[in-house]
Amino acid sequence: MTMEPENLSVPVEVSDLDDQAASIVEGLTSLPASPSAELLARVKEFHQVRAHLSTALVFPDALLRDAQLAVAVSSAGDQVVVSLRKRRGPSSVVAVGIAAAAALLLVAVSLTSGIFESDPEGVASVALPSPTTYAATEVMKTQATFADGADFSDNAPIVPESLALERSVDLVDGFPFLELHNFEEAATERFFARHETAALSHEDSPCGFSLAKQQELLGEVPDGSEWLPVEVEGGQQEVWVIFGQHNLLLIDPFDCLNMLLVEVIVS
Amino acid sequence: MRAAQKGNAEALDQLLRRHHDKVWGICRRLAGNDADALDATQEALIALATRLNRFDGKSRFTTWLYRVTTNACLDELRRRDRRPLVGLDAEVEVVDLSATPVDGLVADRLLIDAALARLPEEFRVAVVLRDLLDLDYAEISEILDIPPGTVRSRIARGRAALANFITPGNQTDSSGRQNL
Repeated sequence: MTMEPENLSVPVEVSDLDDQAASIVEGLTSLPASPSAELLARVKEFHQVRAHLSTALVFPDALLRDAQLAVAVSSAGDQVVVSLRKRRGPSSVVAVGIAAAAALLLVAVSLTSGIFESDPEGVASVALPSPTTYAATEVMKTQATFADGADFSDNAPIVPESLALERSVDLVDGFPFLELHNFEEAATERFFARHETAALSHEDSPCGFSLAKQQELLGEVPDGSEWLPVEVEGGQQEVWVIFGQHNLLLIDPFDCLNMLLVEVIVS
Repeated sequence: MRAAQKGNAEALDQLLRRHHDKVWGICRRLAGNDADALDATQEALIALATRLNRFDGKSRFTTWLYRVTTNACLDELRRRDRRPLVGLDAEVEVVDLSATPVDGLVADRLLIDAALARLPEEFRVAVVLRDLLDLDYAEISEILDIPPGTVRSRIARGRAALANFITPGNQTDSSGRQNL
């Protein structure tokens, strides 16, 4: 049997009893020492409604979920372009020029200061593919790590075997690529730990990001930042993490364009 | 999220996947049934995917997500209301809880679901955002773009209406049947 649905009658004003019951259920006031039976009954009903409506609803079908997500992602249409890891190279003549200029400047500085005496050619081979001015900082970091005579030929990985993360790191155009999702869980745990201790410490950015830049990337004022070490087979790998109140941002120190923004739901 | 905004399909998939249950929960509570909720959820996901690049970070991401989801679900449900109605789609099945032995708790839940589906939209949305998502008045106010005082009033009145409905004796119509 069916019938036309009718709207529920909603009271024009909230009665004193309902107002008191609502305040109690919301936790704004406590139950009086000697509550009336009427109030108790009303509080119970309000609680019952709230308890039911607050029950989390889990989507019933995993396959249907995948299908819905696929449709949604494809609907983004032209906005969906190649993934970040494919956008590591210079995308324009201007970008190539900037990167080349940065690299040449770095070579000049390094030759003058003697920092990169071991293999100045390696600087150019590392810096050229990077499209932004972050390249300079990135090279500094890389070179500082491997100034002990490691192989800087074009095809050589710039991360020593001992630091290579077997499944998290692969090489794209000769660069190591950190799969930042593999650090997400540890970063989230760290996020909550920092929240509990109200930590506000900032560590030096491997990418030379100013606080304003960090805020822009994080989408909120950063509470702090730190290196996050993760134990993996054969050693330890680190990423740099910026923490906010709601988000955290993981940054690959070997490629400052490789970032992962994680929104953390604090219950 | 930034990667998703820049068009990274994998990042977009992960972002939507992370929030899928919340989107579903909102649409399911607002729709009142699975079939409408499934379609509304799909519309909400598409709205999120296509508008993500408009999120400017001025509000919390979840606030933006809940706003887009709520509006998309309601739009879809309104579209359904305007369509020509065929067969049973236009009607609500009468559930006679006295005819079938069901657990008391289950019966109560069915009763609340039915009552929620019949609660006027503006009250339903406020109650769902408060109770399902545990949002405070300020955030609901931001999502619905109404003053916090109005939010509080709608929640209180909506909850009172639901409580009235589940009170024994209140949910029967003049013919004595349960009015579900």
